Amino acid sequence: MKRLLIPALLALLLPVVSACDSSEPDDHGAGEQEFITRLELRLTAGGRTVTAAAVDDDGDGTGLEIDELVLDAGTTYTGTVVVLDEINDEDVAAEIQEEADEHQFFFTPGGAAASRMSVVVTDRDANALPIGLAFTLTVSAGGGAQGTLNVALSHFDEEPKDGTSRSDETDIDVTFPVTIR
Amino acid sequence: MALRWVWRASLLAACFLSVTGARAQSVLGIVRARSGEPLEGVHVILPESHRGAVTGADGSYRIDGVPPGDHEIEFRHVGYAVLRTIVWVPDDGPAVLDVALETESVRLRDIVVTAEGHAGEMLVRASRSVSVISTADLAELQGRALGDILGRLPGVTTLSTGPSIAKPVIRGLHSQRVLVLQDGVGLEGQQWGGEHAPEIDPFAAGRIEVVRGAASVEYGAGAIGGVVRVDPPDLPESRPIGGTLSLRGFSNNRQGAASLMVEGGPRGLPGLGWRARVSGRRAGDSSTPDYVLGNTGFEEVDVNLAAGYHRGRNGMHVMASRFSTTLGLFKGAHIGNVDDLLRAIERGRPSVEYAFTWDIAPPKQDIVHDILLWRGHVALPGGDVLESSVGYQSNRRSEFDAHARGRDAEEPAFSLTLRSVSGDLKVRMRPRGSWIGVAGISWQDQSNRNGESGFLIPNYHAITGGAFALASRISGTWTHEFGVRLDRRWMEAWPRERLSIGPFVRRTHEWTSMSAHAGTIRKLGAHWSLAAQAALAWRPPGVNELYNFGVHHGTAQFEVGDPTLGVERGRSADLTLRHEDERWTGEVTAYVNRMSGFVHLVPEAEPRVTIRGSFPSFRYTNADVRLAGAEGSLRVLLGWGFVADLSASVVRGTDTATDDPLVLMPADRARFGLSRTWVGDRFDLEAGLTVQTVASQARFVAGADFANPPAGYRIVGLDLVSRFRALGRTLTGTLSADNLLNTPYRDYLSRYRYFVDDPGRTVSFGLLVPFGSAR
Repeated sequence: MKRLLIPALLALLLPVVSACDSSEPDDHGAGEQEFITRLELRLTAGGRTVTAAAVDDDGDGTGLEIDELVLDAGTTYTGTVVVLDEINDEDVAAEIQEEADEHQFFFTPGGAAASRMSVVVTDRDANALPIGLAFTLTVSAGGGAQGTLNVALSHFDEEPKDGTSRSDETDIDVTFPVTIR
Repeated sequence: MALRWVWRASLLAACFLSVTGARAQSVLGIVRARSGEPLEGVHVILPESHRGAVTGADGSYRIDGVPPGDHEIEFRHVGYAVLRTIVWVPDDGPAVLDVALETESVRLRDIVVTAEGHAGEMLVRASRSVSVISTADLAELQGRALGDILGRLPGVTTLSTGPSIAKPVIRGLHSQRVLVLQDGVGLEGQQWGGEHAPEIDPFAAGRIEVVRGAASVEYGAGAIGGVVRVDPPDLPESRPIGGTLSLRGFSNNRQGAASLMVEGGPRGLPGLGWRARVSGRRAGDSSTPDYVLGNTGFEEVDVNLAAGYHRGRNGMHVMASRFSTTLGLFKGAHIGNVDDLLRAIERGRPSVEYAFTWDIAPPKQDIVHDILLWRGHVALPGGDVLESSVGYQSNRRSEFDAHARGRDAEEPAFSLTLRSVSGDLKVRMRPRGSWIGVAGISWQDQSNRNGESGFLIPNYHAITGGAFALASRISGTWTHEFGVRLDRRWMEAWPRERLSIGPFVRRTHEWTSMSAHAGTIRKLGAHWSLAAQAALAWRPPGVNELYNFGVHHGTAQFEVGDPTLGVERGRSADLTLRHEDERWTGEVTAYVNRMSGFVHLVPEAEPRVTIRGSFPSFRYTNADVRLAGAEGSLRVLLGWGFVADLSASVVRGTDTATDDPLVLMPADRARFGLSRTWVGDRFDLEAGLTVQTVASQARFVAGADFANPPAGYRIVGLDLVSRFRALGRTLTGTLSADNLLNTPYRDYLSRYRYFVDDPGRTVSFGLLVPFGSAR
């Protein structure tokens, strides 16, 4: 038995080097991740359209650029929100619309011009609670001013969506600089 | 019951060596009970030659004048099954044969509280700081989770992610710095993850050994911080089929755990033994004293098959096991960005009132870990023993996000498959003079693959090889140990060119380095010993430390790897004082571990701002740190059947460049236990009360963490263990209450400390039912 076992021990050591194949990943199969690469506000008033976008081509914040939102005083805009994942070519806003009862956008004016802006969400989910993909933005009359507009998307997974409170799961949180002319 | 060539026992046996070269030789060794303590008064007989000996207080025996060749040998002791086997006696040295005897049945009268019987063994256990949880202790802990069992040892804490995930922290180090071995093979899972628990069925443990501090010479680069060895009990031999059924239920999360073990050894085939075990557990949501922790249930099914055969000094062992679990992650810890985290910390409790449920919903983890192991040993002419092992492991991990955007919810957010093939070949030298030693080589081939969705760490392929030698010498009251090891690791990894996006690119790395160990033990009289050891250890950076890039949910941290990271090295020294006599047993260890190139996360000046919000950014960096501390344990027989246990540990981690304390170092802690045993005719009962006190971690950099370390806490536990005769067998019943007073608390090493308390009181009831020949 001893004579049999020694070669057996050695033989078992050998078939090792080729045991694992190359680990090169398949570019088309592996590694798909979710990103948000573009958040855009499209505002129209009297046939004129104003847009401001936050663009993050890598989806990881490396080259994040946020446009300034330039608004006219004394104007009410009709707005929509565009959300895209351009890496995977997906319309995230359409997905939010599909799960409207689990999402809500919150628009929070800030800075010196905070009191000049008011946002009213105009779309409703199946429970008649606001979604925020569509809204109106009213800028009160007055002189030029500087401020910010924060756009946040809360995801309501288990916390009940009540139309007023935010959740602990924020999917989007971007603050646009605002100039009122 | 297998015969084992125990390294440490042969150290002891080497004391008795005499002149070599004579024709007639000696047979010597140590006889132990299966629980590990040496047995005195065992009759050791060579029936053919009518020679024999009786073991001494330390379990040692010696029979002189034995001619070389194979001999039948018998071990007989009252209350234990007779063990018969073959011993092979070489012609140029003694035969060392250590055996473990098995009790005929668990006898009521055997359980008497005593520190006698293993006198001296602990004193020369190791030059390192080592703790052992014996088979007997494990019988009382049956059904508990591995982390719960390990957290009872001094110097060991757990890094937990809710009730379902706990991984060992040894002297402040964990994950890739602590090696966990099952049946002698290093567990190869995604060990880098703080929320990735070791894939081990604690029911299958017959003995658990924890080495505190580096043990890289024996176990390779993964053991820079310590080793947890989970070994199965020895296989039976020449015994009819028998087994045990273990059951345990826990009140808090309504957990049920069960394990069925069947084993046997055909009488017609001495030397052959086998065992099969199936375990399962299922738990619902846990609760703190004040609220339910939503989605913290888990379910686990494990299967383990083992068989062994030995004849004389040759033998082999095969094992196949599967560990599979699905575990929920607390939903409230799955947050969006740093503002969400701060809001949750501010609130101090979950935003939702959860109701108890058994359901496990995303976020969750699915893990399947398979092991195939072959191990063999043959005696070489001259008395040395050649040992070899080959193991295959596959670890498949899928993690599911709370919600999958635009894809099937059944699809994981990411999945990883890690396959490893490893082996070693070593020669265990027979004693030469007062020296014994072992030398060998080991290798491993490992590949990691991402599944179709998601991407967390890149695919990689790594080949590691090492060669090592260890020697020890016993002379008089001194024991000396020396070891050296050389390892080389080659890795190719496939990260994305721009980390989160872009094409995959091939990157290669190569590391070579040396580990070394020297230790000495000095016996000081009959009851004291002093041990000192120094070790050099190293670890190549892990693939996550090189290439991680993304948000860690639950802490809202953006973690960035560094492909240029260097090797991490540790230089450590320990000093251990041990005492053992009839009244008290204890040890205390002081240590210092200076690590250069210690890889840790350092906050970056600017947070990472994305469309999802902003995240504090951390980068993996090499730093020079010092870990120093002490741990100790003491057991005192107080009289009137009372036993007191005390253990405590302290660790201080410091970045030596900045003098700042390291994050996530366990707070100072102490554990006090008082127990008493009553022995009756039909049953015995052991009752124990444990108080664990944990201080608040006062050493932290103010403002560096989102919340300060939680307050200290004190929790009380009560355990009743009884062995009793019923249904014609000896049953073991346990009734325990953990966190008896339902104290709300948060441990600093709980990853949920930002959000919620640790679980509240849980009452558990366990029963161990032997059957067949194990009755």
